[in-house]
Amino acid sequence: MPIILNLDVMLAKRKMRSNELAEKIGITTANLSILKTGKAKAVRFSTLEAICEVLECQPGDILEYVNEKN
Amino acid sequence: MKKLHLLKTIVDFIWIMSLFCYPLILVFAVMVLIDKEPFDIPITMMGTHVDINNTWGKLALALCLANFGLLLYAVYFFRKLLKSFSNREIFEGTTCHLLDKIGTLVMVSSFIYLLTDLISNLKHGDISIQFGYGPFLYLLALGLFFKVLSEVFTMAKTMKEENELTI
Repeated sequence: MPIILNLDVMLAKRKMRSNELAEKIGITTANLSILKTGKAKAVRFSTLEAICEVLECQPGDILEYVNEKN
Repeated sequence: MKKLHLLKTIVDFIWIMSLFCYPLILVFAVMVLIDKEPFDIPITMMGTHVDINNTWGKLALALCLANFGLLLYAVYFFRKLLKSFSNREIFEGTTCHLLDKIGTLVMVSSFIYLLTDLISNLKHGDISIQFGYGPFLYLLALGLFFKVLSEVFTMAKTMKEENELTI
């Protein structure tokens, strides 16, 4: 997938652990792991909103587009 | 799921009956094919009248048996498919594969049926063009239906995976 979720970077910046974030946004750690490893096919706006709210950031801080051809 | 259980029971009954009948028919057919004596009893297999006193008739009988075997193999896969449905394994790779296999078998069976029909008409010397519905068309349509169903299930499987991976 050319879309990458930089959740690890934001978590490190906010000094927050994965399970803490999962608990705050109301998803399971397994689902958060799917997001972090890039296996997710889609992210709901509600999930993105919750992540941005908890991590106090913009969607652009988490999502990144990488051209796979290069 | 009551309908599924009913269907499974019917298919199981057909399968068990065929398992008993097919070896008997096979042994009988081999004996008749090998025997040099003329066989006067008329044989009708899968709707085709077979006169086995000449080479064409023997070939038609052999083709009919092969066709019956193919359909039996398709029933075996159909039983497996129904079993996976009753285990709630619906949009899985194995289900799509089974549907595809059943479709292929039924389509091959329809062409063998057409060939058998042609041979049994040839030996009588009456070559004619017939228009209308026949078992060949029904079998071909059934085979194609299973093939289409396999493609639909493949699409559904992809959608299910995407849904599961939407966080």
